[in-house]
Amino acid sequence: MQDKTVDIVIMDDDADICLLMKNVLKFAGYTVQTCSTPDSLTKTVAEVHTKLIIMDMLLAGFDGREICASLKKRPLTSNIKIMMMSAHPDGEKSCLLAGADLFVEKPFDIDTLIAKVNQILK
Amino acid sequence: MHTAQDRFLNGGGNMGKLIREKNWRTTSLGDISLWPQSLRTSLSIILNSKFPMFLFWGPQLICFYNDAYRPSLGNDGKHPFILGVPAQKAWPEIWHIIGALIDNVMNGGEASWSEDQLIPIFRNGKIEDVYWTFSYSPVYNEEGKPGGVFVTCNETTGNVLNLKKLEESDKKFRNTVMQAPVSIVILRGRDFVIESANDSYLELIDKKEKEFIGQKLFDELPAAKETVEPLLLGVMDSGEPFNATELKVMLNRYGKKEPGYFNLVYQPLREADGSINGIMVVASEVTEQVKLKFSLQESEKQFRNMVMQSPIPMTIFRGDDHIIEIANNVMIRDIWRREPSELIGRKALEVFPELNDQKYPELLKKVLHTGIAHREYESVAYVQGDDGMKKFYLDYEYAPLYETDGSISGVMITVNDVTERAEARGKLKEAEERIRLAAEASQLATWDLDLCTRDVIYSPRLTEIFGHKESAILSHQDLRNQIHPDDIHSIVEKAFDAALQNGYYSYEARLVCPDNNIRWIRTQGKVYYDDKNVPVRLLGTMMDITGAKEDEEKIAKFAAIVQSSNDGIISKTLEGIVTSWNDSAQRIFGYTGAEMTGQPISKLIPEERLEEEQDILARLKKGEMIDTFETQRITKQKNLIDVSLTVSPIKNISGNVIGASKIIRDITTQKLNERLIKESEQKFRLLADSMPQFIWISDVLGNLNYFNQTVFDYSGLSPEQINEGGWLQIIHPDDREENIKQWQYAISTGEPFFFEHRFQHKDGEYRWQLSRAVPQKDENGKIQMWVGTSTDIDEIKKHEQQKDDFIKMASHELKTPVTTIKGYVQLLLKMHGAGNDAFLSSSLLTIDKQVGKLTKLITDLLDLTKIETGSLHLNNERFNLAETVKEIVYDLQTAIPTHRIILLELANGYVHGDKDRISQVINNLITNAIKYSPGANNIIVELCEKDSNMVVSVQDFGIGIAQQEQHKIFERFYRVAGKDEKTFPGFGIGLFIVNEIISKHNGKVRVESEKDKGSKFYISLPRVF
Repeated sequence: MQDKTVDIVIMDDDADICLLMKNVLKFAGYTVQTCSTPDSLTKTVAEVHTKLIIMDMLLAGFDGREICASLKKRPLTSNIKIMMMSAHPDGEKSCLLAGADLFVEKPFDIDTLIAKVNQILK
Repeated sequence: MHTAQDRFLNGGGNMGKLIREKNWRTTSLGDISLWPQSLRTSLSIILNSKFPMFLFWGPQLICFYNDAYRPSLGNDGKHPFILGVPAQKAWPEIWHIIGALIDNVMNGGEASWSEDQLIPIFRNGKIEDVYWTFSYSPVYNEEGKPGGVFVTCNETTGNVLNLKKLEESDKKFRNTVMQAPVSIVILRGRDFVIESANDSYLELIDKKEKEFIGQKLFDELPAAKETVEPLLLGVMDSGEPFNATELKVMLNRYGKKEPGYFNLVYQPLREADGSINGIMVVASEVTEQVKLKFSLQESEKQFRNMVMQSPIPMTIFRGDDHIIEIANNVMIRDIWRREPSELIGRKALEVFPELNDQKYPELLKKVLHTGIAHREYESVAYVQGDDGMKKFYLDYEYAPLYETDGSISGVMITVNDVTERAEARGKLKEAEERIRLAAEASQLATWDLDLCTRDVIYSPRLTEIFGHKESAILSHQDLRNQIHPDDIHSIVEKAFDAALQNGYYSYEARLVCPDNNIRWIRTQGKVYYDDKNVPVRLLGTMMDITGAKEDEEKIAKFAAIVQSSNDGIISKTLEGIVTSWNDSAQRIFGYTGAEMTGQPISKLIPEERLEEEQDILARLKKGEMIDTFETQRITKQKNLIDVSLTVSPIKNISGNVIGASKIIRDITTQKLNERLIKESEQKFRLLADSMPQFIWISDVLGNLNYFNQTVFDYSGLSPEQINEGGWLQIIHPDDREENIKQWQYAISTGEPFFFEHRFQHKDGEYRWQLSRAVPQKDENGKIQMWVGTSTDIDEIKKHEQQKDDFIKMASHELKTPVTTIKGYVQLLLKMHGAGNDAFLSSSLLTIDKQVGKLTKLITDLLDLTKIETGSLHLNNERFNLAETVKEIVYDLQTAIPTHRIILLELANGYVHGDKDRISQVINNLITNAIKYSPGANNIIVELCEKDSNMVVSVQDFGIGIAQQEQHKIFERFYRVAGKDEKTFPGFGIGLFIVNEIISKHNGKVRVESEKDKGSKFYISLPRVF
C-alpha cells in the first residue's frame, strides 16, 4: 500500500553522497527518502509513492542501468522518472538507452542538480 | 445442368465445363446470363475448335482458352487459374511483349501475325523458352468496336529448336571441314558460285580469299571449265558423289606452271528438303605419291630391262608357287635350255620337277619368308633341258623382291655359270667404265685452242658453263672477256705464260656470266708442239667448280667463327677422338690444338665422370642433341674447372652421325660467385632463423615472400600453409583491416611501415607484436624490397593496460569524495554565503574554486588515458561554431571577474565534430590565457573563416612563450615556466589534449607568441555547409 508520498527517492551506496543529496534537495524544497541497495529501493517504491528516483550508475555489485530498465518495464513503476548519475562522463548515452530520463555527471554543481530536478518535477 | 443461358457452351469440352462451373458473378463480366452475344458466339467458336485458340475479352482482357490450347500451358503452370483472369495478371512475365500487341488490336489496329517468336512463359514449374506462331485479331462487339482479341496460335518450339540444332550442326560441320588438312571449296548453284574455300585450297590454286569468294568458279579458273563443269553438273543432276583419283591438273605455283595430281571428291550438298543446291569439292593432293609411283614404274621398267639385258642369267619367281615371271635369254638358252613358252607364267617346280629332290625349293621358301638373301658359290645343280639333264656348277643368289608396302612378293635369281663367270664379270666392268666416262663427260667441257689463229673449238658444255645457250658461238676473245677482271692478269695470263714454258696449263679462276653471276672454273690443258717445237695447240678441259668453291668459302667462314668464338669449340669422332680444337679451348684447358688433335677427349674428364662421356657418346650415336649441362673438367695444369657443355651430333650428307661438336664455357668464376652468394644467403638465413624476432621480406608490390624460422615456430604453420592461406591468417581478425590499410599505405608511398597488432601463437593465444618494415632501395633510390621485423611487445602492452586501468579507476574513485566536498561547499555557500560571516563565505569560495581545479585535473587525467589507449571517442554532429563560442565566452565571463573576454569577430559557420570536446578545447584555451596572463586584464577571442576553415583564436597579453619552447608546448607534461622560474599549477597536459582532440577532427592548432608580450593560439577546423 502506498500510503506515504515523497517527491524523490535517492539510491547511492555511498552514504555521504546520499546524505548530501538529501540535504541539497531538501534545501530546494523537496521531500526525499534515501536507500543504499537495490533491495531497499524495491521495497521503498512498493511502499512509498514517488515521482522521481535518482540513482548512481555503478553500485557495489549492481548495474544501475539494469535496475533502471526493470523499473521502467514494470507497470507499477514505469511512470516514475529516473535520473542517473555517474563519475563516468561517457555514461550518459548508455543510461538514456536504459530508459533514464536524465543524467548528471559527478561531481556536479548543486545549482545544476537543482535546476534539472526542478525541470523534471515541474 | 445446362441452362438456356449457357447453351452456347455445349460441347465445349473440358474448358467448356470449367467455364460453366466457374462463379462469374465475382468477375467484371458478371454472371454468364449477362454476357453479350458477341462474347457467346466467339466462345462457342473457340471451344468447339480443335485448333489452339485464346480470347482476351472486355476492357480487362479476361482470359479464355480451349482444350487444344491447354497443353501449351504445361503442368504446374497457369492452367486452370488464368481462366477468367485479366490478361495482365495472367501473363505478367510476357506482358512487355504482348501488351502492346493487344492494345494495338483493341484500339482498332490491324490483326497481327508473328512467326516463330520467342516468348518465354511460366509452365512446368519454371520459366520456359517457348516459340509461337500466332495472330491477334479483333472481335467486334454489339457496338461495332473491338470487344476482345481473338488469338489463334501454334506452339512451334519443337520445330524452331530442331531447325536451330540443324543450323548449328551444319555450322560445326563446316568449321571442322574447313580446318581439315585437305583442300576444300564449297560451290553454290548451277553457276558454281564459290561460297567458301579453305586456306589449303586457296594456296593450291594460288588465289587470295578476298578476290575468290563470291565469284563464279569458272570465271576464276576458266582453264578447268571444259573438264570439270560437266562433272559438276553431273553431280548436281544425279545427286551421286563423284570420285576421281590421281587427276592431273596444271597448276600455277610460285609463278611456275607444274603438274599436280589430286584425289577429288565432288559431294552434293543437300538442303533440308533434299534438293541439291551446291557441291563440296574436297581435293587431297597426291602429287608426291603419284610421282613416286611413276618413278617406281620407271625403275621397275629399268629393272626388267636390266634383267633381260644382263649377260648373266637372271630370272624372277613370284609368289609362294614360284611362278616364273621373266627370265632372260641367257637363262633360258644356257641354263634351262627350253622354249620360253614352256616356262614363262608357269610354276617353276612343275616345269623343273627335278628341283624338288634338291635343296633349292627349301631355300627359295626361306628367302621368300625371311627376306634374307641367300648366296652360294659353285653350288651343284641339275637342270632338265630339252637336251637332257645337265649338271651345273653355279654361283647364284636368291634376293627377295619387295613391294612398296614392304612385303616380299618374289625372289630374283641371279645365276652364274662358273665357267663363264670371269667373262661375264669382265663385260660388266667394261660397261661400268663406259658409263662413268660418259657421266664425267657430261660435266666436263672440252676445248681445243689453235695457238696460231686463236680459233677455239669447244664442246657444248663450255657455252653452258659460260652462261650461254648451247648453240651460242663464242670466240676466244669472247671467252677471255668473261674472265673476272681481278683474275685475268693475276691468274689466267700467268697460267697461260707458264703453260707455254712447261707445257701444262692449269688454273682456277672466276668468270662473269651474262646474268652477272660469278662462277668458279677449273681449267686444265696440255700444249702440243710442232716438229720445230713451236707450241701450236692447247687442248684441255674445263669444269664448273662454283659449288665446291662456295663450300670452301663457307667452311672457311665457319672455321673463322669457330676460331674466334669466346667459347671453347671442339669436335670429336664418335670414338671420342678430338678432331678440332679452337683458340678458346686452348685458353680454357691450356692444351694447344696440336697437343689435343688426335687425342682422346677423356684426357679432359675427371676419372669419376668418365661414365658421363660414355653416356654422351651413346646418345650421340642415336643422333640426339645433348642439352646444355654443367659439369667439371681437368685442365693441362690438373686444375678442376666448372664448365657448361653443349654437345650436338655432326652428320654427314646422308644424315649419318659421324662425330660431335662440343661448345664449352668456363663457368668457374660464375660457379664460385654462386657458391659465395649461396653461402652468404645461408649465413643470413641461419642468423635470421636464430633471432627471437620475426623477420620477413616483401617484394615491391607488398607480397611477403620470406619468413624466418621463428615465424613458423611461433605460429605452428608450415611454409606451405602460410603460402596458401596468406600471412594475414596469423593476424588477429580485429587487426586485419587496419593492418592491410597501413601496409598498403606504406607500399604505395614508400614510407616506413609501423604497426602494432596481435599474432596468433600455435597454442591459440594472441600476443601483441610491434612490426616495422623499411624499404630497401637501390643506388637510384628505387625500392627493391621491404624488410620487416615483428617484436613481441605483449608484456609491455599488458603493463600499459594495467596502468591505464589503474588511472581510470583512480580518477573515478577520486571523483566520489570530490562530489561530496563540492556539494557541501556549495550547499553551505547557499545557506550561509550571503550572511555576515565574511571569513566563512570567502573560505567556502576558496574551497569551491580549489575543488573545481581538482575536478579539472581528474578530468584531464582521464582524457589523457583515453587518448593514449585510443579510446577517445567522438560523438560527431554538425553544429554552429559561432553559437558555441558565444556560449563559452558568456559562461566563462560570468565566472571570471579578473579578465574581460572580448569577442572581436564572430564569423557564422558550421563544423562537423564532437561539440562537447570542441567546447572543452576552447574553454581550455581561454582558461589557459587567463592563467598565464596574471598581469593583464584583456583576453581577445575571434572566430574567422579562412580558406574553407573556421579559425578560432584566443589571445592573451601575458608571460608569452620563448621561441625555442614553442614547438614543445603541445607535448605531454610540458609546462611553461614563468618569471623567476615560477611554475603554474597543472599537469602540463592541457595543450596536449587540445592538440589531440583537434587532430582527431582533422583540424590544426598553432601558436604565435613572444616572451613577455603574450600568446595567440589558433585552432582551425574544416568548414561544412
